[in-house]
Amino acid sequence: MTTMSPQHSVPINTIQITEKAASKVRQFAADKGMVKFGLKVAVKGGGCSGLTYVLEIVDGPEADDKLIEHHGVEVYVPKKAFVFLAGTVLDFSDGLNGKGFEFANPNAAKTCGCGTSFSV
Amino acid sequence: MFDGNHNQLNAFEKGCAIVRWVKPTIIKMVGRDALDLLHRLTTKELLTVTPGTARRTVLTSNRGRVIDVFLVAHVSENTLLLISDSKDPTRTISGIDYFTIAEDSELKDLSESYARVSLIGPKTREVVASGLGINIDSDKVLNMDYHDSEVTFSSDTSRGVTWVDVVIRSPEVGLVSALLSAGAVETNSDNFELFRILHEIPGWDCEYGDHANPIEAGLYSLIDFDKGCYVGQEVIARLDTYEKVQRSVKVLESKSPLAKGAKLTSGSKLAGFVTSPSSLASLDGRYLSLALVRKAFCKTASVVDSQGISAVVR
Repeated sequence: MTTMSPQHSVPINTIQITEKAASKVRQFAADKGMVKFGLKVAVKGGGCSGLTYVLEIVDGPEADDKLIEHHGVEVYVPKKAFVFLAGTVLDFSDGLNGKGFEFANPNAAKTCGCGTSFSV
Repeated sequence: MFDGNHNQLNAFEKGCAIVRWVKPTIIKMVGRDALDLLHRLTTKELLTVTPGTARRTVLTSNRGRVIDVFLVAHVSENTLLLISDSKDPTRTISGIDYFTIAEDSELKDLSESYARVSLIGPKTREVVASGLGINIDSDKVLNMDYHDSEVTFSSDTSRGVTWVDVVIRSPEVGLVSALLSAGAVETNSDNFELFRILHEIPGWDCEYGDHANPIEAGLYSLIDFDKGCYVGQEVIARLDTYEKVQRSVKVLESKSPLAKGAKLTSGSKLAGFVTSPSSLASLDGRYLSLALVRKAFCKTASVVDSQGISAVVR
């Protein structure tokens, strides 16, 4: 049986990106002239709530990265960060009031105002 | 003047006083990401702390309460010494460790194997130069070998007095003797406490700790409000912006010594609590204490009561 994260109906053994977020990643990669690329999604210490999301377009996974493919975009998540990100959905909101990439993370007990950091 | 040892108080104010820390907190932090991680976790901008320089910073919880205050001494490339007044290094270590995910950063507790001596007073640099032949400038870090033992000197201007921390492998051999010969004066904890109260220098587990935020604890100068996010930043920024800080550190005068932790009242209202009482009286019989006092009672000459003893806000 697959366990789903309660808030987002995403299996907790993976993370997902929405079609809009995937499209934005492809656009950023094209702007950088990258043909082979993937989205690194990681976590580092810091930020108002203690843990900060890290997003980076890279040309391939590192040895300890978990590889997930969604909407045609490869997502690389370091194994140490995966425990904080399992079940997360990455979306993109644009427009004047848009926040850019947004994380819906079921592990986050508290999120800071700007949405870039969280605590578990 | 106070009934403490005049020579000791005089050393703090006019000479060079030596304070030996009985239970020091000395932590070594090594790794490419060590400084960047501390920059992201604490209140002070630290990315400009280059090798050979030092800066004091505050580690707060995500509720904006103080976990610890420490000097970040950048002793060499990718190696930091964290020197704190705390007697509990595990709290600081776990506070940093908790947020270390994939960073190249490692903490090692040196508190048991190293000694910390603080040199305080306007003639500190003169004494160090004369006793050890080295010059230490403000907010600089200097390493030297002394009798085959590595010694680190870190100057810290953040308390508003001349203050140099010396970290040496324990037991220290001859270093203090050399400083005493050059005119430094060894002091005891009562006189150090009185000096701290007179200069309103916040102390660990007294004015700051998990019962207080850094603003009310008198650590405002250790917060960089324009540096961006760190743990607890939203809470601290909101307290400052909306002037929500309810207490501040004040010096109280009383005719009898107050008790640490004792409540302060004014009529039926709670006015605060005593954080650092001095056991030494002045020659006219006054005792000084530091207290966290609620805003409404902070005005100079306000009178509060502590367990039947009347105290006046300085």
